[in-house]
Amino acid sequence: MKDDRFDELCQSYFLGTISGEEMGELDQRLKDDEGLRMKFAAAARLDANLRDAASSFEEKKNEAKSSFIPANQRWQLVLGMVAALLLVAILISQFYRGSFSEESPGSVEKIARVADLNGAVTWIANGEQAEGRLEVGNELTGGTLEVSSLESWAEIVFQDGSSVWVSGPAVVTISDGGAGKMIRLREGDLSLDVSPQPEGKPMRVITPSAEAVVLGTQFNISANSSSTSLTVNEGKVQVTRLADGSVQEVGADHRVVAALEHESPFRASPRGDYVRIWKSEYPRDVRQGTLRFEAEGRPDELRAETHLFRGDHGEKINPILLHSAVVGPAGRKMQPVLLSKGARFRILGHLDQSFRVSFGFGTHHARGGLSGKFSTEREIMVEPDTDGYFEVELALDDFQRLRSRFAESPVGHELVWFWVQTIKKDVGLSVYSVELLSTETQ
Amino acid sequence: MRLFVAHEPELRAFLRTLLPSWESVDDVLQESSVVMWQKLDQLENEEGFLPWAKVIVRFKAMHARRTVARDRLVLSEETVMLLAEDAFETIPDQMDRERKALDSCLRKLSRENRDLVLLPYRRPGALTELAQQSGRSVNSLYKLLGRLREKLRLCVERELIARGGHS
Repeated sequence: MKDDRFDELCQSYFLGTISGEEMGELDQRLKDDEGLRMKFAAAARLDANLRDAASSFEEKKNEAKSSFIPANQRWQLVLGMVAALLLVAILISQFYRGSFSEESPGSVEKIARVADLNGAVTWIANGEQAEGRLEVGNELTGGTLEVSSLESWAEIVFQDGSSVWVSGPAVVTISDGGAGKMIRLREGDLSLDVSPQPEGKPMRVITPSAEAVVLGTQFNISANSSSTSLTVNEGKVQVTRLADGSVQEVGADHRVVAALEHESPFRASPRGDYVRIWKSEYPRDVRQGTLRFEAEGRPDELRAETHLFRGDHGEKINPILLHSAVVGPAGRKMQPVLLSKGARFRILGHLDQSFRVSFGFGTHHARGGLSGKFSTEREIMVEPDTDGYFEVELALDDFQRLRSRFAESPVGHELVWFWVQTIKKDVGLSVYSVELLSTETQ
Repeated sequence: MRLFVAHEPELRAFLRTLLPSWESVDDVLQESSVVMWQKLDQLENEEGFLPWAKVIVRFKAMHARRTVARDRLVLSEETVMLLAEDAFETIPDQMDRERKALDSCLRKLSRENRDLVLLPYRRPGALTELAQQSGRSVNSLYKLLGRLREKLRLCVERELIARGGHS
């Protein structure tokens, strides 16, 4: 039942404007009525959620002030607006590129630009999803980038030239304020090439399980909700494990894994020499998908995970369901895997019925950042007597690069992940193993 | 640590029910996290974390209420005890669902009104500054803020009902 007086008392309490008399009234009413206490608890949750929202909805600078100009000053405002519109028109003619920027240029500080992108990439600035297509050259304020499919990526370059490759699927928030650049990686993979940062203002990269402080370096970082893996190729990165606050200095050609369960070792170790063959092991190498276990509890198959594809960077299409399983060389002692000439992949899996399947992989430069994504498709026929099992071998030459700026051939690059995917229909895709076979000796 | 991070929003909201300011909520939560860390071996299983953590924060909050009561208005100890008892049991995912509903409702507000609603959380004293700059009285801004918050509360209720109906 609506109780205007109680609502008013609640608002005053949570806004901190309640008087002594009102506090007495509120106290008595809460004491007497359990229903009002539940309502009060709901108001406290709203207050907590509003506080939380204040940090995720970015403030539009100066706008709140302009909304409350008194009537006797409005004529000045009108003149000011005319002048501002003229200025905006001039600036637009010089800087406006595409339909993406929703703010008038200069009204909110641009901290980075889009240097490259492909696939399903969404930009959310000021707490709102931008309308129109995100395009190469768009200038960005602080905000969140969602790179939602396996074939997609984006390269963001800060004003000082520091670049960040975001490889899908990933969710990353960028900002550059008084304390320096900050990147929050909720999940996914980043490759960073960081220019020397100003003294006292290092770049900070924060994941759910670790915080990295960077002065200038090249490194790759991969995170999910419970673990972060960081590999440094050049320079040095200081990594804090958030579970217990312990710190590791990670130098060039070293890596570290920080997990939330702090029983796992947290120690920087050399990456080791390259290997040229690899076979996926579960659960160690799982990147996306749901593990299913054999009777004795050993992980046996990786069931494809279903997610929604809403179109490439802003294009309006009917959402499509994708079903993906992703694996990649991981683990604390895993040496880097190099793709060699003549190498091929052998994939063992299961489908409920014959279907077209997409295969692909991502690579890093040897001791470097993201170098490419490659994919191919095959019509997989499953025979009734095989119970849906399939085996397919694909040579490196069978894969096409997804962008002309990527290396023509993945030979000599590091394998990072391998994905298997069906589109639209869920045909029970599972992956038992992915194996890299090589003609070269180790 | 993982459990604490996962349940932090709910613990924060629980404390907000018991304490009169965000400053005291943050202090108590910080103190409580240290106690939880020290007594972690008493926790029998992960499922029991939230009630166990609520016992700790409730104890700390009652102590903090007495300290805060020296220089500001607070609810009586008896009322706070009743609130703590009632808010002890919560529905799973309630905070998360309410947060999502709130996000949706905030997007329905104009940018100006949304900024005004969120302003008190961004900078202490910002509302008074805004009043001075805009020539409006602080009181009228608080009244507007109260109306907007009430509008949001009702919108969140409607959203939750609508979402519940579809699930």
